[in-house]
Amino acid sequence: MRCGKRRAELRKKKSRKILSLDPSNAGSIAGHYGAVSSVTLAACIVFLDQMKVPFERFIPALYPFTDTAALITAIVLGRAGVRAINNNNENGLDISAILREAITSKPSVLLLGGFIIGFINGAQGIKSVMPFFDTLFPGVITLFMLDMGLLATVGLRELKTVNKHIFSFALLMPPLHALAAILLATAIGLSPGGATIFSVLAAGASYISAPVVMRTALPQANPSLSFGIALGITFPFNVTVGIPLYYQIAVMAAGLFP
Amino acid sequence: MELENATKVVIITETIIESSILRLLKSLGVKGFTIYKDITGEGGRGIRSVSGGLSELGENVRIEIIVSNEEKARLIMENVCDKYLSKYAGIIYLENVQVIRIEKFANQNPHS
Repeated sequence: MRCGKRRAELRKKKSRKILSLDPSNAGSIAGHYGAVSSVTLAACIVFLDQMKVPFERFIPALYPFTDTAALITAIVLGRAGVRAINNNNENGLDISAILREAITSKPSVLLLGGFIIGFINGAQGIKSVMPFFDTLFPGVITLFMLDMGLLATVGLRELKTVNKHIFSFALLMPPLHALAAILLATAIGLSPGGATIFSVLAAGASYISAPVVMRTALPQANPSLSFGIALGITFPFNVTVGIPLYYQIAVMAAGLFP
Repeated sequence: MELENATKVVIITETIIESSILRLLKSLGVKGFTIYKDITGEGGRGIRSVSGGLSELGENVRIEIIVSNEEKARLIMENVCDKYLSKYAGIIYLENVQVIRIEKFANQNPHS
């Protein structure tokens, strides 16, 4: 959870200084990139399973924690920045409302609910439904990815008029975050597979849950901007080049710090 | 049945704040409204509707409230504008309509 917060903080400072963005947009982008892309995470799990690389099975379950921590941090920083600029207390901090929004938005409810259901039922209890989810999973995720591809083009179209420097941000930040995550994961003793998943939690940019939360909390930010680069640039990069790259880095890191 | 004059307030805005606006309307004493979903469009902010079914983000919603007099309509407009339309994309406007069963709309009693 602390990692999520730290990452969101760094992200916000970076996006403000490097891209000269206003606090709202900086906060919104920080929130998107601090949060997790569940599809990228799923693709990473599929990748590791197919390569028969073992990983600590609890790591994907860190998703809701890093997600929520990053979103809240981004909102707090973004709002503080807006207040500093406007020199008023109009955007007063209503943490309980933000938390409520973050936790009760549909993607969050389904995610947390899924975890709770799985936890309560345990491996035995969900045995009867697993064939449905197990067998259909590759097919469903294929359809989902195809749909994402269609949407990514919409996202890209929205970006025609923005400052092009943000494209480099969208391409450079994920590997940087992944690198930081891998070093951290290796240092605490996770396997290369686990470090890879951890890196994907860091490198992914959310475009389903984060946009909704960010829009509510930081309405002055341009939603097409953060959504466009998260889905149109970072997501394709991560699922094609990113995941194998991060895995290689994780393997190298494991070799350097046995 | 008599045709009476009434005023319709139309709000077209982002789905994300739909529940917040409805809460505000109820606090103003509004008892009935109509909601249209899947509204798309483009506005002065250049923020287009990114519809794609992923989340509520790009969707818009149209909320209609019919009140029996213009004073109430103005009150609704002011409140919604101040609290939400300054920050989120949306428009709000009035239409003059004629209704039957005016009592259905007369018990809307917005109070500040």
